[in-house]
Amino acid sequence: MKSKILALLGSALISGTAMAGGYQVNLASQRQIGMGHTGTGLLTGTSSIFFNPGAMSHIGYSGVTIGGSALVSKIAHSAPESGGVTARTDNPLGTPFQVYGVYQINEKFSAGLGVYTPFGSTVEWGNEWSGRYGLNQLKLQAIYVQPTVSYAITDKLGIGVGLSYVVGSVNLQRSLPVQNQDGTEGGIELDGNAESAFGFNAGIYFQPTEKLSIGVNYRSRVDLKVEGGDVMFSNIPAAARGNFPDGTTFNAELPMPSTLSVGIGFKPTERLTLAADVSRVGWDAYEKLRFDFSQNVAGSPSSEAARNYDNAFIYRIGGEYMATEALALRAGAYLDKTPVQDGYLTPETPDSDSRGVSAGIGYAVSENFSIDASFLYINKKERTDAANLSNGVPGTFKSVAYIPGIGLNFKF
Amino acid sequence: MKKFFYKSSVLALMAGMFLTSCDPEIDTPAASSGEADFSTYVALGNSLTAGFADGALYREGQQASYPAILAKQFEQVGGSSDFRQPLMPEGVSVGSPRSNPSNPSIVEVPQKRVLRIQPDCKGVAGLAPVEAGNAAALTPTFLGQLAPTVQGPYNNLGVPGAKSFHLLAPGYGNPAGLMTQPATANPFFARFASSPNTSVVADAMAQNPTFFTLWIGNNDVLGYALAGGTPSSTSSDYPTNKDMFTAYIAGIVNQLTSNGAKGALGNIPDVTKIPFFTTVPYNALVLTAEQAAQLTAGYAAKGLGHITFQAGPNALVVLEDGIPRKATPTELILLPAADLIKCQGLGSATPLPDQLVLSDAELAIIKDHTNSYNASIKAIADAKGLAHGDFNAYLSRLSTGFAQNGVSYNSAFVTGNIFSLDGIHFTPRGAALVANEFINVINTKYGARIPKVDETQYKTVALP
Repeated sequence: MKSKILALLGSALISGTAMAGGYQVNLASQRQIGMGHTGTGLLTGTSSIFFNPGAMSHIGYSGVTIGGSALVSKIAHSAPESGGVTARTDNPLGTPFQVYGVYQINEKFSAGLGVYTPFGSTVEWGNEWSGRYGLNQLKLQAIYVQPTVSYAITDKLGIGVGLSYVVGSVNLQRSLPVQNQDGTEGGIELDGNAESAFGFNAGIYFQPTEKLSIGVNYRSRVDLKVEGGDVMFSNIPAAARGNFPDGTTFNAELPMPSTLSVGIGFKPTERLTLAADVSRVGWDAYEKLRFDFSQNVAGSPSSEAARNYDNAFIYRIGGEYMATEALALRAGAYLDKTPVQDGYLTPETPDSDSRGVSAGIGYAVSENFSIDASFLYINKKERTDAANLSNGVPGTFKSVAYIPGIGLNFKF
Repeated sequence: MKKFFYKSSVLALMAGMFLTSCDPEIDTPAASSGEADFSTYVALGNSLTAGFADGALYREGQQASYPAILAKQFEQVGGSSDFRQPLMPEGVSVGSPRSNPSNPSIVEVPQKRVLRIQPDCKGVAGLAPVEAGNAAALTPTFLGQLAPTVQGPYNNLGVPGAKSFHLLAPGYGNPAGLMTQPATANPFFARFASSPNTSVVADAMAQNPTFFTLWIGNNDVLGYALAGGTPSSTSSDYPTNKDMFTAYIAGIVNQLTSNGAKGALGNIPDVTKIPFFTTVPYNALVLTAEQAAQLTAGYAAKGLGHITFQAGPNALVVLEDGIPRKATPTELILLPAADLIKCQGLGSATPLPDQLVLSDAELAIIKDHTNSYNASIKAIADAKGLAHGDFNAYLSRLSTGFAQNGVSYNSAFVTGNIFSLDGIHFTPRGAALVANEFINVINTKYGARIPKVDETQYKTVALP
């Protein structure tokens, strides 16, 4: 099942920095990004594999979509009462991607395969800032491979379900507060691949009239488990080496939370499509970040920090206007409420309520080939937190992201 | 198709402009000096102010003294960038004068302490704070080698060993007074006093300071504590008389404020909460059943049948006021006892000497004086409209421990990150935290916004 295509994608592309609530990355379709990432209540084309498998049997064609985004995220930190910005991230470009293929077996049935990256985080603070004992850098990756079937019960009602096969990896680096004679500090790096995990994505699509469509979608929670990940220490003074033994491994578990979405689509005219979605993300699954070590590290067999995320809602609106037969203009916006409670802010995901505005264009080059381009700007509310409950880094954080993306659609 | 590529390239260009120019910003209130004027800052105090660390005065410790850190922060609110300290020459460290152990008539000064992995008296390799090199005899020639590497006048007037009244004493830096018996001068002030007969306060006032910090009084009670509470009430090491202390502080502050300068006073930590007094547990005597029986019999034979032992941890035997007895859980054993217990077996058949133990009665004297001194400091700060740093409360917080930016801080020796290898003075990190405490109270008192320092940029105890 660990297919070649996966290995190829995994090596060439890095999944995105967490720029939605928590470490969710909602960049699943270039067309839909342009529309504020709505789509649960729409026929979104092949990306219905992600947005609503129930709609897949209604798209009426077979096709393949390949797309990706260039995610540039920047976070600034101001330490408490420091009088200015004291640290900035130097995050590498994130490249969340999506590939969808749908085959219309007959009028009623269609089958498809999606590969996408709904969770991930790449944050790089470096090893000099005041929060370096909390985090130098984090790279969290999850790739979903989802074979999907959809059945049109009537020409107004469709259902669909996909099995998600999930692989992932984590790499986390921190400074350790032990100093050598020359002032250099120790470091710890945790690196591991997650065991394969499974989940599902199910949806119902209902189109009562020509103008109105409704969808409900549920993507299940998936727990990613790392077993026997490597713990690597660097620059440990000889006197402290017993506390940081070589050859240590770790186990850890991170939940990819469930998402329940309800969406509505409305076509007031032939040319205009409007959409609105509400999602509830089951972040309460993320209670703690715990590492269990094979040998004591700093005198303890484990390291645990509370997270206690709250379930959070995302509200989205978007629209598409067909300027010509071939050219679609899109715009959208959303509000992604933070799952992070006061006192629990962390430098991995210095999260706060996130506002996204997007624009996009689509151009049908031919009957069978079209291109989508999108641009999404995310601005998270400035947030000040004592981070006293999460062993985090106190201070004020502000995040923004600029996310251009492009997608190619082929119809058969 | 062309049109599409044109459009997407415009989009890409726009995106590119966004990406390079639009860093997130955080609006922070502008730094301001409030009602205070930091243009000429002087720091008065003892070894804590001087940047004494690891049992010695040396350049790296001075550069990370809390006044030096404060001065850097004051620069952002109008303070001078020329904060002068009487820096030691590179590579030289000088501890407090002491008698040479094998020839008590020779006064010598030890070097700073460093951590080394080496065998202890039992041959077991372990981590030990040791003096970095041989002690030097305190001679005029040696003192000459300690001249500051920068010219005065010095903003940091901290003098290791100084008590409250020393700051007012003319001649406290007179080299002639170093060799008298008893010495009337302090070698650490003699290094940088502007003239033989000046006083610390006079050297401060000569600079016409606009702002000062005064943190003095620790030694007024610490000397007694370091001597295990043995000095009698007539000894110069007995805690300074409470009323006199009030008068001394008032005298210093009256002078410092005479030109309208503002400032901050620090109060005195409970010295019994520093690692020097808390590292060795009262029940550090761990015995086998056989050893316990032997010791019990030994004391019984001396007619001290009430002193008994059992297998496991036992209270150390101490000699208080000439009488051997078991230490109680509330009594404190001084840090130097650790080696004597381990290497010479003191605290068992031979009791620990009086000067290594603070008894409950002695602790009560320390507490009584500390409380009284602190009441005076607070009253004077309030009367003069000065900021007041409650380091007594801060050290109490430390003794239970706290975490900041992912680092644990507590008053543990070596691992607590606050105290240097002498168990009394700060690490640079500890000094940075003290500087932030001062900034806290100064900001509050004078409505200022002095930025806090990033304490993580300062070192803790370096390990081999």
